[in-house]
Amino acid sequence: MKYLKKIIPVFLTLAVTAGMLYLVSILTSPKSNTQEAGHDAWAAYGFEAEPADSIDVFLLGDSESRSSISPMELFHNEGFTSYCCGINLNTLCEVSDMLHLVLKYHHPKLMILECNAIFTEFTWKDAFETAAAHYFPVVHWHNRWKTLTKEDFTSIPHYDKVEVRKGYYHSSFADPAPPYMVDRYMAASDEREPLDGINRWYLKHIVSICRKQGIEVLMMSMPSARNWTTLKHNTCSDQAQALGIPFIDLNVMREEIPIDWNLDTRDRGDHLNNDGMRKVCSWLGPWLKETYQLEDHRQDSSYDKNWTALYDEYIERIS
Amino acid sequence: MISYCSIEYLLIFLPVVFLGYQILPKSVRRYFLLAASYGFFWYLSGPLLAWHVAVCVCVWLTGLRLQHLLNERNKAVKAAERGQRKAIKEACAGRMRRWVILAGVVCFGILLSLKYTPFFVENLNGLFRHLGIHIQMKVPSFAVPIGISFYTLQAMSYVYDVQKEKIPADGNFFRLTMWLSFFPLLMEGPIARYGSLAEKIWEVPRIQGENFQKGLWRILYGVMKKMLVADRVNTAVELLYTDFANYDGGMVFLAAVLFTLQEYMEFSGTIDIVIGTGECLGFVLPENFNQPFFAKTISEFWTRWHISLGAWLRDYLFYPLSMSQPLKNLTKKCRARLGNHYGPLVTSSVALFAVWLFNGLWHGAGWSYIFFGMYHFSLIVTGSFLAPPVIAFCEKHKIDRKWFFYRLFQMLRTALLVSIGEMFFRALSLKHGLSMFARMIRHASLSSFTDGTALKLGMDLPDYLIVAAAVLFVFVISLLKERGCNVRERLYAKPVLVRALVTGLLVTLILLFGAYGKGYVPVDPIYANF
Repeated sequence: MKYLKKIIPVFLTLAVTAGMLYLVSILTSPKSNTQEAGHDAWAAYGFEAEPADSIDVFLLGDSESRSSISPMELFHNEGFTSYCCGINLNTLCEVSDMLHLVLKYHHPKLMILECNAIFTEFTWKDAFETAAAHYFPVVHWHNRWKTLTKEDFTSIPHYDKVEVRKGYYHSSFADPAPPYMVDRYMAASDEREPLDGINRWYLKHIVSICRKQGIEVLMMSMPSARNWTTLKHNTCSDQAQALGIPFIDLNVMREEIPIDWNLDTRDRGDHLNNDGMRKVCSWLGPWLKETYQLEDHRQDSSYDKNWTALYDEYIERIS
Repeated sequence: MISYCSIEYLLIFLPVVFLGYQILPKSVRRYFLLAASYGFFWYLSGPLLAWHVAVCVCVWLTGLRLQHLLNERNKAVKAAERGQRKAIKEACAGRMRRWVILAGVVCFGILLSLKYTPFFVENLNGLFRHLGIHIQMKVPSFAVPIGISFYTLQAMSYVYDVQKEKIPADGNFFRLTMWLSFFPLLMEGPIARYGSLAEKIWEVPRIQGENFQKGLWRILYGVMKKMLVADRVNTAVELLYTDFANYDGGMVFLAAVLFTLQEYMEFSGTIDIVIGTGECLGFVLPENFNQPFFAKTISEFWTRWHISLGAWLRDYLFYPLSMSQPLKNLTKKCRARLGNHYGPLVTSSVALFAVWLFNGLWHGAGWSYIFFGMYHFSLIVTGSFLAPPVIAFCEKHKIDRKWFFYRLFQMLRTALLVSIGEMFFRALSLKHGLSMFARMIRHASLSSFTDGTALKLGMDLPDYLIVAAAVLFVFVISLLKERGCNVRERLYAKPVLVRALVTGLLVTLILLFGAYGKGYVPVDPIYANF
């Protein structure tokens, strides 16, 4: 009894605190996966609006991933479904968090881990904040208290807005990479880009989660004259070998994907534009379909509403 | 820099310490606490911990030596004839003084060498340049252990107290070290006295539910002050102090007010966390703040702000200086010439000058800190000299000095003077501080408050509103405390559900309205640099 008297206040305090945080989390979370509703990465989270288990391939990473591959393009040409969950400057702890969310709704065949995000530095404190925000979204959305509307008090988050571009960030603008950047791009080297212990741990963790779920993992680096180097390539190659997963570096596949850094980049060699994306997809689509035996859904009527019927709108949006 | 408000401290270090402390047997618990304190120190300062150990060894040995001399003296006094006793005592006092000076040279020597050498060398180089002497020394740069200014004063207070027989010397090195390295006190104080704390920490009582609950509330209150106010105004403070030349006098004044607010919320918030941590473990740590902005004079302000530093300076600098023979003689002469009020005031001003010079330099090695000390010295002395004419004026014009609005005027005047002083304190240099002050006066204007400039400082209207609401909350709590109401005591008397709701509400308010995450840069612990 004496023991219970000591324990009850502790549990009651924890329960009340958790309850309050849960309530303010609902209050501060955007009520829809749209920019208007205040969502800061609405496109990346659009997979929540897709029918359960309807996506074959997910692409996790940072802005390089969402600029290099267009799921609509892949669907139109090859027939398998995919989704880009890349968010600017994403760290591996955020990628891991996104993976958990993806697995809540979908069970894809393949998880592509875009490699630039592997090198983004973060601390275990950032990882803690990300984990806290996973359980109590108020940690992420707390600044929305400034812009709360009546709707925020009367409804709960409901992410049902189907994203036409499926997470792809389009740009038809071309801003050439500086010549010096192109000259030193992928210069030969035996050196390795250092990778922090915490990054390595999360990489292993992500692969392990996918393996447990029976999902294949592919490490892939997207073309970027500004961000990608041979040093990163070497490190990723080592890591992939150690983890026993395949690694494809699109930066070294100049013949298969002939990126022209004068025409195919939107921001001086950092990210690809629509032309660059098309070059990537035209090679990657058939390769993925064949390697991973991905199903063609183009004749499946259940994919009409969210895929086939949206293609024209997609073309209009990205032009 | 890691602070007491960080995830590392609050969510990892503290729970581990609390858990270990509670489950370990008493005989191990105290060494666990000592190891935790040194682990914390190591985490913050690494091998610089050696300096701390050196100070501990120095004051421990000095204390033992002083105690030995005292014991010898007592034996000799007992055995001696009445007429010889004074001579024995004086001889012993002389020997003890030499040991105290030696300890002072070691402890303050370490502090001066690590913290002040670059400042002295820079100024010496400047002087040589000015005199046309072609000698320029390389300005050294030393890493300084965390809280060196705090633990040095704490260590020296122990030596003085043993010398003055206020406390017996501690034969137990670990107990003395535990008091000097107790982790909550390491970064920003308060400067705790040996007599009031060492034995209590060494007792390592078991954690009690009531203490823990009240301590937790105090910690949350401190975190709230820091995250809702100090961190939220940080961007504006940084911007205004760096780019003040691009703003009018109104904005410079806002910079002074915001920094004063930030410093108070950061420093007092940290002290709340420190005292709350102690309370959770069952120790009563000394208070460092007593509603400073209710002070009616600058002199009173310093009895309410950073109390432990003020008390240290009073006990170990002001009193010994005032009671020294040369100043006693001066008092006598001045009293005869200037009367009973102004006579002693002149001599106490001499001691006060030394106190404020020390106070300024203690805060940092820079002319702006010396100016800060002299600014407060001037205000306190001026206040003391003007007190009689002001009283006479009020009596003549029938102004009731206890009238609410008169007291309010005094409080606002004090807060204004403090804010101006803080402007020099925060400025990048003395020159920078003087330029800011000049700009505030010469370009005095309120237009920035109406043309939207105030909303372009990294703070929008909701930011100002939440800061105002948090300040109001702190004001109400302070007012209740000033009137003798212990809020936590009252809350603890409420049913367990109400207590749980209060805790949950505090956590929720911090996470909802705190300035953290992307877009915010938390303010570094301001006093930890001292």
